[in-house]
Amino acid sequence: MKVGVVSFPGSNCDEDALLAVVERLEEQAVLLWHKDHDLQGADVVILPGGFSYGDYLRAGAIARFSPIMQEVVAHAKRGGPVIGICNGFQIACEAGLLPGALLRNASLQFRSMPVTLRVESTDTVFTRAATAGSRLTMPIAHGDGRYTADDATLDRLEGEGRVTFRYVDAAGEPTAAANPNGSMRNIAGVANGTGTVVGLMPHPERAMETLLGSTDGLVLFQSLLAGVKA
Amino acid sequence: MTTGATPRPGDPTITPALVAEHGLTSDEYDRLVNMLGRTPTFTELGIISALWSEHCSYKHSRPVLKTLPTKAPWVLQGPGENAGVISIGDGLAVAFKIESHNHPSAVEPYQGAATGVGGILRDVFTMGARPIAMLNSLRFGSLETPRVRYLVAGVVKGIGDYGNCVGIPTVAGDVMFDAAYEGNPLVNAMCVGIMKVEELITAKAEGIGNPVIAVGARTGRDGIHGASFASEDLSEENEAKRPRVQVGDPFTEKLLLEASLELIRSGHIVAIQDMGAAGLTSSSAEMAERGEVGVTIDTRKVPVREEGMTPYEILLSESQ
Repeated sequence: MKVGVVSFPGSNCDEDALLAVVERLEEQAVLLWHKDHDLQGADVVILPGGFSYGDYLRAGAIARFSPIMQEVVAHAKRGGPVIGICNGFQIACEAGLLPGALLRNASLQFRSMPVTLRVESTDTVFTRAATAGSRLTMPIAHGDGRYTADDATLDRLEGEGRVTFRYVDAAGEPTAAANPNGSMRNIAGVANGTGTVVGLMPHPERAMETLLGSTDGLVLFQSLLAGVKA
Repeated sequence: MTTGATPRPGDPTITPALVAEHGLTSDEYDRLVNMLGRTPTFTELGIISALWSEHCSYKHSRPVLKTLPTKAPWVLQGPGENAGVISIGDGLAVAFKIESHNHPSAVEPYQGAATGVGGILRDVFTMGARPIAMLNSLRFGSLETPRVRYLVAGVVKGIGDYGNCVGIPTVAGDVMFDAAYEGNPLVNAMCVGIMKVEELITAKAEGIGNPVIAVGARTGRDGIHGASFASEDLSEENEAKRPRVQVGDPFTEKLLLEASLELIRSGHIVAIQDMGAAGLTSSSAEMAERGEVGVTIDTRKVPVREEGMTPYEILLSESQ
């Protein structure tokens, strides 16, 4: 399996994602330059965290127009797996790969902390090795993470099992206190209709080493292999 | 330096009041006139005001700083460069730097603290190291005061936002509140970076005829005389000096970080110097001095943000 990690100007989790694949998954990974029109034969694309093009206009609003994104969208339309992490989630929403939008945190403040997620769906290529209802701990670090969509969209996502992760408390309940950014219905991550594109605000690539606090992010990457090797 | 220099049309006349405004004592001014053998131009006065400020020259704190230990077999770079570097074995080295940004943070806490982080980040990556962690040490007055609450909120947000945008985690820090810091907060930021020993580069501009290249954000009118400002006593009037505070651009700095490290590894760079306090003036003078060479700057070739900037402004801007 070959993973392509997009480097936009201002991406700052691209190297982390690359290392996660190469060192922890022991699979191939390459950085994809934002100006290129070449996915270099990648089977999977990661849109990493950061501040693409500075995000001075609106998070992800400029990145969606970059040359590489045309190829990423085409890859997704062919059924190719794409995961958007943090800024990557914002970009995926801006590019129309996922429904909804990520607004300023309800607190209006940057939040950097570990959060607990509940796996809501294992019908995606990034969660199929996880157990439904299991809890994962990984960090968030964002100012614009409040997942927002209209009620009809939210109902449809829930009905189709496309809410992938929810912020929950220690007891596993999606309470307001467990919601770090005011996301509607405590949604931390969603998927497209085929389960091949997933976006989430927390950082699984920063939860790959016991030394760094958690290995709970590993299951998202292992899920990719579960499909390839099955 | 004794060759003639004609005042630029429109430049103010050098008066004792103007000299005082530049933070130079009359002794220091006399010394400058003796060195030049004539009255300095307005631009020269600005340059010397910045270079001789406490912030750039450590003229008051040097005797104390000299008492600190700086030499050991594992010290690859002691004081006098952008950052200190220590060998940690296995061919690896750690670069680190701590610096205060007290005055800017006292008048404009968000930008003051943010640009403090930006400054030390540059100090570390201009040694060839990749920054991996940020730390800070903060002192404020009583939290009961609305002004202090405003300062705390702004400083914390400035540090957090800048680090998050550039992608360097803030991993530790300490904070204390005491009436002694009322109106005069201390904002110290620290950066740690890692590198291979052979990637160490310094700011010693050796060699004749080498071009000097200024990279990063364009030069604007922000932060002019920030170094002199940072060396004055703080007072109520400092609110009016808000324009002397720099405005941060973490996105451009992230690009600068990646570009600098790539450039250093290409082997084409003789020396590299962060442009921090006193901007082009300080960086070019320090690089030339270490290399025992002179440097010629044509200010017309410096990329600027605004039309009509004077050489004085271009040389003393602290745009980030």
